[in-house]
Amino acid sequence: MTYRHSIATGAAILGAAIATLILILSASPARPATTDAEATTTKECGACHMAYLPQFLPARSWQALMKGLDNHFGENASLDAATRKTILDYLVSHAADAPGQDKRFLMGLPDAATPLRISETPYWIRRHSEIPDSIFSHPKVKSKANCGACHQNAAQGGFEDE
Amino acid sequence: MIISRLMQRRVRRSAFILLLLTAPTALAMAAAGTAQQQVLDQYAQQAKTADAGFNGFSADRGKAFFLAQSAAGHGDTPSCSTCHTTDPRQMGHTRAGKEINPMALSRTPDRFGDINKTEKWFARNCDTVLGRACTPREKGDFITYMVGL
Repeated sequence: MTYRHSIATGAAILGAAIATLILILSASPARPATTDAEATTTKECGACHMAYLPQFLPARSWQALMKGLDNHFGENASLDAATRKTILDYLVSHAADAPGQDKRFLMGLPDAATPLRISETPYWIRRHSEIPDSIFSHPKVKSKANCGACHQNAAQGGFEDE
Repeated sequence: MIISRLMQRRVRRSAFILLLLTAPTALAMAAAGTAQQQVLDQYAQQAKTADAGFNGFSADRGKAFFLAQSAAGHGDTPSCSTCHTTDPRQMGHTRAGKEINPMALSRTPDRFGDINKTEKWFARNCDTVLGRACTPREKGDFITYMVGL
């Protein structure tokens, strides 16, 4: 009885220890930091257009874009220095050429090219080759920048053929 | 009995006076909201510092400013109304096709309630549309127009 009791107690303690360990690991500081940076990126970039996924451009493109926010495709989109750095770090660490990221947007892209528009990348151009210009200039679409006009789940990263 | 009737009358009269005194302020507060009024107060202070003859903001000037066309900006957006439409009670659209909630306070009640957010967008859009910073009077006129719509 006492023996069984001590086994049960031991198992309970072990279980609690494992649960605590899982809790500690899942709350490691790296995760919330990434989530905060992603939320900041979605909020700030998404104020004017869809917050494009970082994997749509190489890191060098994001660096060039974030350097020129005072004239961002004809508009002043300046940010305070801290916010700008948070977003740049997030974009660069999740860019198409960052380790472990989706590399499709690097296909056919010369190393020397620094595209500023996603719609200038060879991969984007190839995937949209059958779409006539009249679709992009349609009043409900307005621009190649408006992914969500055709890709309904674009903001969540869904870009299946539609 | 008489005393209590006298008291009642006095209470009623003082309540009436209090209402007279506070009604205009209360009305203005209802239109602008406390947060918006604080933002406007800051711009009024700045406008006074910039120009000793400053005598208040004007919704009419704000409307003219909102609709005006400028050639001095970045070019693609020559007017506030390029993106916000000529009726600030309507939804606007960015050039990238994203919807912008109406600027009119009656449609978007939290507009102009946060000085940092307000300053951020004036800094961006005044440069984009006008190619320069807006003056405190222009900002105050603009908000006064939007608060009254």
